Amino acid sequence: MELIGVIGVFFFALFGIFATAVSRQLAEEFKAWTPRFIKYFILRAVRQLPESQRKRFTEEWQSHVDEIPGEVGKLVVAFGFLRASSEMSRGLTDATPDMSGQNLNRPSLERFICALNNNEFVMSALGNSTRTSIEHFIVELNNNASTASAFRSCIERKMSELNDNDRTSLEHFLVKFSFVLELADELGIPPTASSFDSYLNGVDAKTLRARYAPPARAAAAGAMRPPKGEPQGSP
Amino acid sequence: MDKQPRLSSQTLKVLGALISCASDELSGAEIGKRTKLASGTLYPILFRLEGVGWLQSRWEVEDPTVLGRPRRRFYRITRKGAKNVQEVVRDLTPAVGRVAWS
Repeated sequence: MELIGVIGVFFFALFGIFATAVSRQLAEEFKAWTPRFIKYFILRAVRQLPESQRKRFTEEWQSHVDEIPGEVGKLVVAFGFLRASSEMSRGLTDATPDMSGQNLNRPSLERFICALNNNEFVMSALGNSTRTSIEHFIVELNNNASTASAFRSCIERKMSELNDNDRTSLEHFLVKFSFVLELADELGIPPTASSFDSYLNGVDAKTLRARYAPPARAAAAGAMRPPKGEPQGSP
Repeated sequence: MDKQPRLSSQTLKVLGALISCASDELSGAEIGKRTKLASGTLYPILFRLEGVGWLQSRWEVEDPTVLGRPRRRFYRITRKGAKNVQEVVRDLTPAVGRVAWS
């Protein structure tokens, strides 16, 4: 019985030594890897911002992290920058929204109205009163914006009524909307309701391209296109 | 039309920290420490307030190579910001000692 007790104590001590060594090693590893993780988080975060803001926030956020004591605290703060940049990038795009309505015809206007109505991003960003006013705006667009110029004046009037935050949400939506129109044009596919919905609700452009232009179809389209310089109707 | 930021409780905390600081300006980390706001919440607020002209920011003047670390960015409240905050505080203060009904 005594022998079992001695063996137990021996193994317990052995396990204690082993656990101490491993945890010390893990702590050192963690400490060594933390700066890389921080750098990675900051880099990912600033990539979501427009080009003009990236340099500033890379330096500012790195200096913020440096002021935080403790490795875990630093990591948490750096991870938070991902959320910050995603919030900040709303409406902070270098691209300007296409509000001309040049490419707009009645079917695409209907899609616009439908997408605006269903777009969680815009709707969740707006307060109750603004949401109601956007809903009125949708009705107004549906009734009045039958031409490009009527569409443009409707959008411009709405923009002037909205406050800064809501305006940036709507601008962001318009950038995305004009992108989908361009993409549909580039790929030669009709801008279907599902392509609009998926892009407007967070699917990125690369995925959308892959989904709506399968390689075989794109290759076939390339083969059908006449080589440069050759007139299209030549025998 | 004068741009107005959304005045959430977190935004008021940030403005409060900047108004009450003795040194007149604070770095983002310092504001985060005082307001206990996470970095993901703090920076969009600072950025929005700066965008509407309630705050202004500047880089630390020292050379980062001399400092041996990245420069800090200091935020301070502008005159316009201070005036707007006073108005907000006045609106939020209950009418104690004032004639509430006339």
